[in-house]
Amino acid sequence: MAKTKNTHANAHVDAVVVGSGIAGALVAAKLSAKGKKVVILESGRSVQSADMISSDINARSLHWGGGMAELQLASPVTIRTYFSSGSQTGGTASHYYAAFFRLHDEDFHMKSTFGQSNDWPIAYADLRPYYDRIQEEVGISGDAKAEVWRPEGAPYPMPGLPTFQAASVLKRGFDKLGLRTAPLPVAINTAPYKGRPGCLYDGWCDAGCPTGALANPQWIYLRQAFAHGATLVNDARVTRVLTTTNGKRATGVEYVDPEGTVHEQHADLVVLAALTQTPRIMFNSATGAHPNGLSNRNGMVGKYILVHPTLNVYGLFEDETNPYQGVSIGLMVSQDDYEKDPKKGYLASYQWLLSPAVKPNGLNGLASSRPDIYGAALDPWMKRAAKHFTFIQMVGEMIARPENRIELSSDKDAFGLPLSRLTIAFSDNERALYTHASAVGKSIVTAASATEVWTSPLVNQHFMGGTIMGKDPDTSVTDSYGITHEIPNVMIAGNTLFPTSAGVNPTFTTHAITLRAVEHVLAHWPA
Amino acid sequence: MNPGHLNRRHVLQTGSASLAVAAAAPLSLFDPRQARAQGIPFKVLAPDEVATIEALSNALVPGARDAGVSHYIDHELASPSPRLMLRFAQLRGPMPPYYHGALAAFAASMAAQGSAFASLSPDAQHALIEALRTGTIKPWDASPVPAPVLYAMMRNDGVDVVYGSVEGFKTLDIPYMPHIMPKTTW
Repeated sequence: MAKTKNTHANAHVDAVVVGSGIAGALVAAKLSAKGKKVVILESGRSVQSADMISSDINARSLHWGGGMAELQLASPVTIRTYFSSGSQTGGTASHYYAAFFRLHDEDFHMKSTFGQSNDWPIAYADLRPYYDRIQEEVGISGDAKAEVWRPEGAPYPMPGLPTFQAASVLKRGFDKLGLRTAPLPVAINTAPYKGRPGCLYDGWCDAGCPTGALANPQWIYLRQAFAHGATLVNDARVTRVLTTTNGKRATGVEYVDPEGTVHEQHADLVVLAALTQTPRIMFNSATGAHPNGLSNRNGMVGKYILVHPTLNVYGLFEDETNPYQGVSIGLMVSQDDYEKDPKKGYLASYQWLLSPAVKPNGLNGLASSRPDIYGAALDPWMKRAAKHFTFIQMVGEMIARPENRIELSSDKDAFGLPLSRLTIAFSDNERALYTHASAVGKSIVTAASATEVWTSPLVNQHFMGGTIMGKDPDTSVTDSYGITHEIPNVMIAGNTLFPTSAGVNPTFTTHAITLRAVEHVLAHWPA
Repeated sequence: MNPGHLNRRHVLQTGSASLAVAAAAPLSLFDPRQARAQGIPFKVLAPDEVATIEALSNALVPGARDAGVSHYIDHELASPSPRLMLRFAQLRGPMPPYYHGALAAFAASMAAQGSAFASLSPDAQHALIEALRTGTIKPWDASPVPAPVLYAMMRNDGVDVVYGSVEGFKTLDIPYMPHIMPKTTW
């Protein structure tokens, strides 16, 4: 093993997992449960339940991790990603809202059906058993029968969320327009489940859930991983994947600790589950055998970055809505207009989420919904909104395009490694979706008897793509299990594998594809 | 539905061992209102920047000055990872230069217009804020940030200190309902 003066070689392990978010934690839990020795390297600080303090300002410290996680944006900037990322124990999922939607069957076949975007290398039937098992493992609340659009699957283990006043008010609008609604399926307990308590509906999910009612990594898979002997190293910034001279096998990863000491963590299996940092690590792992970056012979690493185009339609009501309570994701859902049909004037699926909990300040706060109000008019408006405001949110689909990409920047981090630069923009298709949904949304909120109705600009949430899975090694980075096409002991896990965004929140699918992948890896582990 | 049937105290007391630690967990002891009242020295902001922030933010969010908006901004800018809303703009590099630059652009614009914001009449202040908000203020050096971004910075930071605390929730007559109560302002 080659060493430099400043390099420290850690003890060899079976698997090193880069990233402690949903995917990394799940992989670590399942591997360690089967007796594998696992080390998780997390670039961010330690965040435990006790750190999840209920305030919007504190919550921001969970979104994005500071300068070391910088993801530069190419001009012109229309899409930003920091809100939907995180660099700490639990990764983005330390502050996620736990919406648990299954992809629809049509979501897996965009390219073959419509000639646009990508196909997944798997179909809904391949994932269904994993969706069913995940929902039992983490606990999901919902009403499968009320979700008339839901693909086939086992019923939820817990009843759906309560409606509260805000969603009841908005449901009037959906009812009047003949649009069906259902409790929003969430990995949030509506009743005690597996030793975790039911939700208090205090509306602080964005600041992290310290009670255990919301299934974040701290409470589920990291806890399981630790129970089986996995270890977590915080503030460990992975710089590159180490490979054999011929480039055919990975031997581990190199990381730097806060003191600048370089460590080599050797392992039989390398798992990259670092979301926005996964493409960067692969680029920075270039060698003579991998001149374009790790497993990037085809130039596909970094391509097809995706977000969910998002629209909020707000309303003020005579009714008391008390928007400060509930859960951050919302209380009900409607997918009545989910079907993809180019005749609509756009090619995308979308859904409505009803009545996310809202606090006074912050990116999703009351004040941010009306940035034009200030001065003497602000306080009366805030007092009215605090009791009579609510909104619906459209989560829409973005067409996957290779020009939406991550590359290396010419700027470097404190350790001299290039940062990432993201080039991404919406197309006319997403703008057409926004125009359509704005009109529909305003009709819904107006029908719900709002006295004032207004909309947000086209914004975005979530982060997907960049190392997509696929059947064809020439047009994808990994197979359907996240195994890179060129190096069989490098596995990618998480949202970066998504070839398309679909029109629903991603995390349930992240769980399902990860569970499927890690069981495949265990089944094929060399004797 | 009224969630009152749930026994909050029971859940928060028994939910996890780690929550018991929360009571003793070290939090920022910074309270911007007290910091202003006590005249705590600024670490990042210059006196003229403080004057501009207090005048502008207070005009946008009445009460921001007394709530310590300038100390809040200063405190956050001095930290390695400021929690100010500007972080979501995803600007390149550290945050302080953007505040310095935006405030300098505003000061330069006011100087070119031959006036001081704080001494303007309410109507004149309103007109100037509208120009700032809509990006029509002239002149404006947009190299640090466009004018509407400074408007958003001053308004967002003012909203944080006036409405984002336990005290702020009280002024809106809504319950704070924390899982873990911030030890001080946040």
